[in-house]
Amino acid sequence: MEPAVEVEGLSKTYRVRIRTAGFSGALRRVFAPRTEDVAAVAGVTFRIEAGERVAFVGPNGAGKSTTLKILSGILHPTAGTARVLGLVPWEDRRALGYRIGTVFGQRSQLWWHLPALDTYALLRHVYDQDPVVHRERRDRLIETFRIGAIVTKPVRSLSLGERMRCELVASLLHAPSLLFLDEPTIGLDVTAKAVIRDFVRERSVKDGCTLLFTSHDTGDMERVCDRVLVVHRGRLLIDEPVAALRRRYIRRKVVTLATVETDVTVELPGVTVRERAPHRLVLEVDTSVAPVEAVVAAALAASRLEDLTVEDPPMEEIVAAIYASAEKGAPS
Amino acid sequence: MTRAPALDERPLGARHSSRTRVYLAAATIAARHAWANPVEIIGRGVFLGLLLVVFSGLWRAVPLGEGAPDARGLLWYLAITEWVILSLPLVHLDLERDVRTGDLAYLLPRPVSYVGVRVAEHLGTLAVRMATLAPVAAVLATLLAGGLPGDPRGLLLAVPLGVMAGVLGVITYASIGLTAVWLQDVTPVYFVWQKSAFVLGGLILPLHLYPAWLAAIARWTPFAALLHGPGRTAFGFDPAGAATTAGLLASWTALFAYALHRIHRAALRILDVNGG
Amino acid sequence: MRFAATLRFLAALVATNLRAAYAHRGAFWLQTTLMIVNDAVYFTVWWIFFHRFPEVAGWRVADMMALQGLVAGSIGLAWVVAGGARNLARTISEGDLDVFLTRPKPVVLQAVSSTTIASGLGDLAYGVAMTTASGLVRPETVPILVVGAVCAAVAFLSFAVIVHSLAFWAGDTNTLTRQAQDWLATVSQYPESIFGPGLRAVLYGLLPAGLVGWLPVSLLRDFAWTRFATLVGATAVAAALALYVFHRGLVRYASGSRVRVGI
Repeated sequence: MEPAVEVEGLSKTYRVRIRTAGFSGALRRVFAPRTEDVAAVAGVTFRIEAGERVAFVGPNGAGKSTTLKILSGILHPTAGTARVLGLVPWEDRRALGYRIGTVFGQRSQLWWHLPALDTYALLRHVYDQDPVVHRERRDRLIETFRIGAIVTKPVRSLSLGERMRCELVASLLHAPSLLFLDEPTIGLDVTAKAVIRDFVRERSVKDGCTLLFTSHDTGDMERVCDRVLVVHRGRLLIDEPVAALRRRYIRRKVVTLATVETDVTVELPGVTVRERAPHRLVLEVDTSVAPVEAVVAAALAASRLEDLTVEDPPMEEIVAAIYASAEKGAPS
Repeated sequence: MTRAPALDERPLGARHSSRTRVYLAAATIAARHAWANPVEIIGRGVFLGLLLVVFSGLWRAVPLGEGAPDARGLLWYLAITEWVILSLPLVHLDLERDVRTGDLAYLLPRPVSYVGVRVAEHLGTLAVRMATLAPVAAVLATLLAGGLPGDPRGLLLAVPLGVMAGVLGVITYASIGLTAVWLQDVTPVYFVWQKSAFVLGGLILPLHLYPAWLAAIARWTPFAALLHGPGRTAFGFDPAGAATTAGLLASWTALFAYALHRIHRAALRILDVNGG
Repeated sequence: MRFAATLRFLAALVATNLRAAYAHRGAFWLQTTLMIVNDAVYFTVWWIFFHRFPEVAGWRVADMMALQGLVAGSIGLAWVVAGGARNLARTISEGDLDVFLTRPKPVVLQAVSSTTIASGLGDLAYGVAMTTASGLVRPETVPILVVGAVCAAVAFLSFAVIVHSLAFWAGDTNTLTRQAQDWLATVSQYPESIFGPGLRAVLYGLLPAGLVGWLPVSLLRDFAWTRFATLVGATAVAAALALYVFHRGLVRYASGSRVRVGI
């Protein structure tokens, strides 16, 4: 089956004008500008199959949004090829428009002073949707995203989390095959993020909609997506399933002990103490040196355990480690 | 007649000189900013040129008859009135924005008068605008009118009167802008003020060509002094008349400065009440 | 087929905009009414002028009423239907065209009709009242007036789009472009007969004041098929040019070379 997204050697270089202060500087800027080339995306290659949920992760300026904009037809690349749903985005913009949806976390697509329902009614005309089909789909989405009580209120009176759910419904009304989400959870609190992630994932699974998520929140990556592309300075560092990323880059586990004794000592090579408090000991274990079983056995021998937790370190640390090794130029 | 001290000149013990320095700094920064924006300066010049071109055609086509001023004088009149009105920075928009974004709540309680700083800034901008537009106006008027006005000495009086008019304009715009605390959107108020200035200030037609009753009404308003005052120097050298205009401008400025002060106080009270 | 769908979309878009503007009832009525007052007060300048000089180059106060009414009404119509054109340069330079590019509808349409300017309704109402009061419109000339007004609005918008599109190349030119719009609106309100032929050529060409004011009004005063054809034809050319310039700019936008401030 045809892949949803196929990208080869994609590059995007910007020419930036340098601004100098003052009257003469302003005049010079108009008549003889000095420019500088900045590579936002540098030779990115990947494939996404239909129905996949992929996260584009990277720090600010890494090139995530630029790649997304190229794939959604907003920008032309400087070099390389891309096919989205079988179409070349910047050439078949209109045809592609019917089949993709977009959510920009930093920009609202809803009319600010009107209820979301009014925007939905307008979107029906944007996508030339049949009124009956539109109404059914709209009502189903309103139910799924639980916005029934708020779709009749002006958008400006909604909280960010509520507005985001309305935005997501707006992007799904025309049943797109591919959904681009650019930082959709930005600015949301933990609960709102969790809710949105669940809804989006559920919808994608049910509709078979391919998801392309950009974010610098690794929680998005873990909860919604099956695959992650890590970008840094315009280059693609990693392209792996989320689980594989965990396995490959995690050689550390965090073991937390709650003990009856006030003070416990567990000493093994490869084990360092992260935190020590009365009745509590947090250990960081390098599993390549000391397997988890050995640590647990040592803990059981050294104390009477009330509670034991074995966790992966947060994804942030994994990704940060990847960037750090990329910065140093070490093989990742 | 001595001018009543404007807001930024009110003595307040040892803090007086430092406050003046703040206002001066604000004015200088704004002036530099205005100077660094050649596009706007050129754009304003083009607009003035366009108007002068249109009106040079108009006054040539009008059968002026005896007893009426000559076409050359009329064009210079327009050059002066437009010079004043086009140079006025849109103070009210800045103040409205401060109110709308809520910045006002932070800016008002500062030790220096917020309004004083804003007015100082816009006076700085005004200075740059007037200084850059005046030569353009003079050159274009000379070209299109076919020379200097009948008695060119009048133009010497136009400059100080025009500057005083500009100051009055900035103060009134600031008053309009501050009413945003009550009105939210002050653009309609500004429009009404602007159009009233056009009519009652005799923007394109000098007041002495108006029907007598209307001219009489107009002279009771600040607009007559604002536009017609400097403008009529195009028709002759009249030091006595200029002095009267200067006196009127000074009085109106004092009045509006006082109004601004009261509005400022009322705004402070409102923002206190709202817990701002 | 696609054209019909686009028209339906445009109608829905304008309706949504009007509803959004009306959502703030107080501000809506205030802006509309005050614009009428504003226009009316401005006209008194001319009333005074014509009181002193009853005829100028063949124009009388009634002609001036029709001219000002038509220009104000057409510009009002333009701002109601395509209010987004007023600050298009800012929209372009701030990257707000992105969303429009992902939708299967013409970008220029989405951009110019992204909002409505409530005060435009005031201008429109004033225009209708003024033109009617001028006495130059008789029942049989109403269709000419409508066509003339629509052409004037389209010509004005085309000029706006062309000048705003400079933002694709030169960054945020919003202030300058707003000024240029003012120039066109201003110049269109003066009777053309006061200009010499050289100036008239410049003004017809660079600032299409002829299309926005003089030609439509001349058709009301004294209809001729040649001038009617010129008006419609020239407006169509202006619109085509505007679309062309905008799309060339859009290609540049999509190539990401829009000016960003770098230090």
